[in-house]
Amino acid sequence: MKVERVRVRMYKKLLGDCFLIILEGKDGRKDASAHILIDCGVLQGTRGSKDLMMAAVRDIYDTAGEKGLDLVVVTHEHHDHICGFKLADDIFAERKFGDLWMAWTDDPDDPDGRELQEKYGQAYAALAGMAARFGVASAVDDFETEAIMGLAGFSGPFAVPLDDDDAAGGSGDGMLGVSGRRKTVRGSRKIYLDLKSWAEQTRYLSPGDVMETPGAIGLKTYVLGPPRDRDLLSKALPSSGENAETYFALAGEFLDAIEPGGTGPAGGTADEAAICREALHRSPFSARYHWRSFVEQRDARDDGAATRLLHRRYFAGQSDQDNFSCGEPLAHRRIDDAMRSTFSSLSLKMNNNTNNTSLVLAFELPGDGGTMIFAADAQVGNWLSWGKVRFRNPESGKELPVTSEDLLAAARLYKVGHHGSHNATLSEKGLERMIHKDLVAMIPTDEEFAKKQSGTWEMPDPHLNEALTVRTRGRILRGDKPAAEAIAQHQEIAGKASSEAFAKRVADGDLFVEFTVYDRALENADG
Amino acid sequence: MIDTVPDKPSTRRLRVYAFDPAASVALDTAVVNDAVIELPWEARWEDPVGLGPANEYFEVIDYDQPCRAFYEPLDPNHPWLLAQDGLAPSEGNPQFHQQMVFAVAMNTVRNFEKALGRTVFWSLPEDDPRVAAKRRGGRTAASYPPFTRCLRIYPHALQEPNAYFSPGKGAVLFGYFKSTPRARGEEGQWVFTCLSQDIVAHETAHAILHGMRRRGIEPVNPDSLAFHEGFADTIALLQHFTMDNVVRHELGRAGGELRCESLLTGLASQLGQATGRNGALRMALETLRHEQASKEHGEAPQIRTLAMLREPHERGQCLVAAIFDTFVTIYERRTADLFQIAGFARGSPDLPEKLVARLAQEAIKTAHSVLQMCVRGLDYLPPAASTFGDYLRAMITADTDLVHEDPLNYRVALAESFRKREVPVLGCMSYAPDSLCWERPDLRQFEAMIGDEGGDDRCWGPDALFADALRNMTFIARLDGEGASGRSAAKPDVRLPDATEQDPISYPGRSTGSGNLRDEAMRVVMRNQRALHDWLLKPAPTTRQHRMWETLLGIRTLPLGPHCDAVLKANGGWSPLSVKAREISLEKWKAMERPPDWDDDGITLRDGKVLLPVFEVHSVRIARRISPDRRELSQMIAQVTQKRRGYFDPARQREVDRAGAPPDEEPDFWFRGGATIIVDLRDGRLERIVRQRIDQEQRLARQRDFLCKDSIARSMAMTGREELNSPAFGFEREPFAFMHGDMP
Repeated sequence: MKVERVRVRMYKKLLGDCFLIILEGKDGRKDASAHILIDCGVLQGTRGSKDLMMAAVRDIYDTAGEKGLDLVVVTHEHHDHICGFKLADDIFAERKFGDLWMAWTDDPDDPDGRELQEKYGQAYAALAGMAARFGVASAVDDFETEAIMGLAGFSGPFAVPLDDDDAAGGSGDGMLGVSGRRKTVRGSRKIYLDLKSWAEQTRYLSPGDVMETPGAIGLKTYVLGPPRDRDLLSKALPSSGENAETYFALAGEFLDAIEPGGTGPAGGTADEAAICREALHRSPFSARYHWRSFVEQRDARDDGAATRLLHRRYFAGQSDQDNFSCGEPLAHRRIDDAMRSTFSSLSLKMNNNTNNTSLVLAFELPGDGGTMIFAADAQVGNWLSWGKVRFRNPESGKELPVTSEDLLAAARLYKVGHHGSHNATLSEKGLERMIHKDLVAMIPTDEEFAKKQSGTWEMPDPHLNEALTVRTRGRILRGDKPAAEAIAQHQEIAGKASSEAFAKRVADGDLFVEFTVYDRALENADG
Repeated sequence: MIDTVPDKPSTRRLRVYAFDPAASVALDTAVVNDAVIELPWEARWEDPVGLGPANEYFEVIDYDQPCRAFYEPLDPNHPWLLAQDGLAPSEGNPQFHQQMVFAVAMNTVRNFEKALGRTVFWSLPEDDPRVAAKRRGGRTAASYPPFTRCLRIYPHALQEPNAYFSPGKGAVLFGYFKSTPRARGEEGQWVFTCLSQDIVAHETAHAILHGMRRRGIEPVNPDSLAFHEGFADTIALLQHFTMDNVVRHELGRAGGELRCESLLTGLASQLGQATGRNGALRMALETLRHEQASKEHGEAPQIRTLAMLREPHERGQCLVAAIFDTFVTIYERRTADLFQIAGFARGSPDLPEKLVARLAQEAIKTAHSVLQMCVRGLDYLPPAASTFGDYLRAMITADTDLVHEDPLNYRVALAESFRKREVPVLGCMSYAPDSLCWERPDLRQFEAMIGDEGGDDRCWGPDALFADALRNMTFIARLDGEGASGRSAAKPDVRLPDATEQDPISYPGRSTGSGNLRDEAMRVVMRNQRALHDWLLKPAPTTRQHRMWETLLGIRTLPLGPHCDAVLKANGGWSPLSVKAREISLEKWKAMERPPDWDDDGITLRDGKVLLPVFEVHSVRIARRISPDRRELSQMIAQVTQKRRGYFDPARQREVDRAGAPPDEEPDFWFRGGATIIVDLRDGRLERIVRQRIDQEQRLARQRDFLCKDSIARSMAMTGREELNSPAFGFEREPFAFMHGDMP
C-alpha cells in the first residue's frame, strides 16, 4: 500500500516539542493509515502545562482513532520533550502504543550507551544535590510547578519517588538513592520507565540505521544522530574546547554542606565533623599538610597567630578596626557557597550535552524523495557528525549511496532544532545545505515566554530567523503565531500564486497548526 | 644605646615556577622553570608582609572548600625561609602554593603600578550592602563607596578546571582538579591553577582592571567583556618578558624569533593540555603564525579580522594578537641591526650567547614599553562603554601626550596591527596616529562659560576652566601625623570642611608615624571625588552657562524636562526624563543653590516632584609621569558619569524619556554617559575630554541592539531582578566564572 498523504501537526503554545505525523493511504481509510508521535512535552514552569498537554494528547489519540499510535519517538531526556507522557499518563497508560524509538544512548545493552548513562546519572545526581542545597525549585517532586525558571526547566524534577512496582534499573537508570523508605529517581528516568512499559517494543537507533516506520503504511527513515563520537557529543557550543569529562569526575561529590545555613543532608555539629572528615579524603595533599578542618578551625580557641588571623579574616562577621575598610561586613567574602558557580556551569553543560544526545531522523517522503528533518534539540556537535554517517541497508548491511548531504538537500520540512536557539542549527553544514525550493520550517517555540524565562533565550535567534526566512522564503510556521503570518510573509517574498499553494497545505487552529508535506493529488496538480 | 642594625634588604625573594609545574617535567624547559620573584622590601609606609602571606594588597586564605580544610598559612618571615628565598617549588606542599600565588599576584601589581604611575586599588563589590543602600537614593557627594583594601586569594577554592576573579567576594578563586588520564591505566594528574604564572597574572589583571573601571564588567557592546579577557591575557603574556633568564633561554632556542611557538608566546600550557588541547590554553600567536606561514608560501596573509568573531573570548584574542603583533614588530625593528652587525640571520640556530643576551635585553625593554602603552591607555578610555577602537585611540592619545616624538614609530606599529585586524574606529579619518588621537577640546567654544555674564569678573581664559575645581583637591598622599621634632608648625586646613561630617563610614586614623600610605591615597581619592562632585553641583553664574557645562560633560545636572532647554537644543541635546534622578519637592528645589536666572516656570514635575538628575564622579586620580625627555606630566584624571533608563522596546523608551518612570521601577538595562576629563594640574586647563553624551540616541540604540541580540549580555544587563539571582543563572554574581568555564 502506498502513502498518499503526509501531514505534520505541531501542537501550539508550547515551549516544547509535540509533533504528530499522520500518514494516509488511499481514500483516507483509518485502517490504512499510520500515526507517529515525536516527543510530547513543554518547558517546566509553563502555566497550565497539565491542561495544555492533556488537550494535545487527547487530540492525538482522537486523531489516531481506534488503532492508536503506531510509533512514539522520544528524542532526548529533556522535560520540554517528554513531560507530556507524565502529565497525560493516564491516557497513555490506557491506550498504550506500538513501537518506541529511542537513541542508542539509552540502550541498556549498548556498552557505550551504558557508560554515558552512568556518567549522566552521576552528573544529574550532583546537580540534584546542589539544587537541593541552593534551594533551586526543580528539586521538588512536582511536574507541574510553575515557579521554575531558567535552565532547570529543561531538566525537569531532579528527584521523584519511584513506585514499588517500577522495575529497579541499574545505576544507569539515574537512581539517586533512597530518601526515607522510597527510592527516588530523576523525573525523566521515571518517565522512561513508564514509556517502555507502555510500548509493545522498544528499539534503540544509531546513526547509519535505516528504518521503516511501523504501521499499515510507513516511511523510510534515516538516522543521523546522536553521534557515537564522544568529542562531538560534548561539543555543544560553537568553538569551545571544553571537556565534559572533568565535570563527570566530580559528580556526586560535594553534596554535603557545612555553612551557610547547614541545609545539607546533615545538620548537627557532630555531623559537621563527620562531613569534614569525609571531605578530607578528596584533598590532593598528604596528611602532613592537613592542618585543620573547617569545624576545627572555626571552633579553635588557642592563641596562635594563625588561629587569630583566620578568625579575624575568615570567620569574623566584620573586619576589625585597624583595617582600612573598617566595619566591612566580611561574610559575603567567604567561599562556603563557591559551588554555586559550579552548579551554574554544570547545569549549562549538562543541558547542552543532553541536547546533543538528540535522536535526529530524516523521513523520506514518497514521490520524488523529498525528506523531513526532525533535528530535536541537536547542537553543533551532533550536526557536525552527520557528514560522516554511512547508511546501511538493514537487511544486507550493504552501504547505501545516499548521504546526509542528500537528505538535507531534499528537505521539504525542517523541524527547527532547539526551538530556534542560536547553537542548534548549523549554517554552513546545515541550513545552507537545505536547498529544496519547497522548504518549510516549523519552530515549536514561544518567544515571549522564552524571554521571560530567563531574559537570556532568544527563541528563535534573530540571526537564525533571518537565515530561515531566506531558505524557506518566509514559510516559517511557529507555535506562537498564527500561520497567516507565515503565509503573508511568503506572499511578500514569493508572490501570490506560491502563497496560495502554500496556504492550501496549511491548516491552522488554536490547538495546533498542521502542514501537509506531501499529497499525491496536490503534487500532480502542482506539476 | 643603639646596637648596630644592618640595612634593610632591598628585595624580598620568593621562589616560584616560571611557568607551571608541567614545565619542570620536560627536560628542555626544566632548567628555566625554577625562578625567583623579587619584590621590593616593604617600605616604611607599607604594611609588612606577614602570615598568610598577606600584606595591604592581598591576603591569601587557604581554605580548601571542597575538602572543608584549612591548610596552615605560611609565615614568609621565618628565618629559615628568608635564608632560602622561601619554600622550594613543590606541587605537593600547599604552603608553596600560597607563596607562589602571593608572589606572582604581587609582582603583577608592581609591574602594573610601574606603568600606571600610581597605586593600584580594588573596587568594592557593586552589590555590597553598603553600596547598594546608598545607591538607592542616587549618588550624592557624600556617598562614595570606599575601596576594598585587601583582595583575597583562595588558592584552593574549587575542585574544577576554573579560576576566576569574583567582584562580589572581592576575591580570586583558584581551582584544582585531576586531569583525565591520557592513556588507559595511567593516573590522572592533579593540576593546580594557582601554580600557573599565567593564570595568576591573568586573574590579578582582571581584579586590577575592575579596580580602575568598575563598570567594565557591564556588557554594553560586543567588546566590553572581550576587552576584560583580552587585556588580562595581554598582561599575562607581557609579564613573561620580565624574567630575564627565561627570555634568554627561549630566544636562544628560537634563534631570536618571536613569531613561533614557545613558552614565551603561549599561555597556561599545563591547563591547556589537561583540558584536552594539544598545547597552550591560548596562543598569542595563532594569528601571527598563520601570517608568517602564508607569507612563506607567498600567499596573502590570512588574518582573522574582528568582524569574523562573535564570542567574547575570541574577540579578546583578537586584541591580544593585535598588541602582541605590535610588540613583536617593534622588537624585530629594534633588533634588526644586531643581527646585521653579528652577521646572523634571524631564526638561525646556535646564536652566540652574547647576541642572545642583547636580544633578550631588547625584548624586555620593548615589552616594558608596550605594557606601559597598554596600561596608560586605560586612563584615556571613554567613561561608559568602550570598544577596541576606543582603546586604540586611548592608547595612542595617552602615548602622544607623554612622548611627543616617536622615532621608533611605536604608535604607527600599534595602529597598523589594529588596522590589519579591521578593528573599527568610529569617527576617525584614518589609522594615522595623529587622526587616532582624541581631539583636543575646542576651548573657544566654551569661552562663554567663563566671562562675566553673571557679573563675575574672573579674568582667566578658558585655559583655567577647571582651576576652581582643583582648589579643593589634594594632590599628594602624605602621612599627616604629628612629627617627632617637637617644633610645632601651624597646620593648614586642607580638608574639605564638611568631608568628615558627611562621611557615613569613618576611617580611624593611624597612630602617628605608622600610617599606611596606600590607605591615605585611598582617602585622598575619595576626598577628591567628593570635592569634584560638590564643585560640579555648584551653579554657574547663568543658566545658559550651566547648560554649557552640561553639554561639555555630556550629562544633566539641572532639573529634567523639556522646559527652558533652548541652549541644549542649540547644541543638539535634550533632557530626557529617563535620566536617573532624585525626586525632590519644589520647595526643596527652590531652597537649593541654582543659577540666579533659573526660571521655574514650566518646570516638569512628576507627582508634584522635581526630578533632579544624579551623577557620579567615578575616579579622580592624580597621575604624575615623567616622559623619556624628562618632562613632567601632572594630570588629574576623572570620570563623570550618569545613567539613564534603557528599554528593549523603543516605544516604551520614548514614553519614559517623555514622562519618566516610577523611581523604584527597574529598567530593562541602564545606559550610561558622561565624560573622561584630563586636566593639567598646574593651571586647570582641560587637556582632553572624551565624552559620551547621555542624550546620544544613536549610541543608546546600538546598545539596545546589542543586548537584544546577545542573550548572555542581556541576562547580565538585567540587573536587580530577584528571580535572575537564582544559581541557575549566576551570570550576574560571577561574571568571570561564567565567562571562563574551564578556560581561565
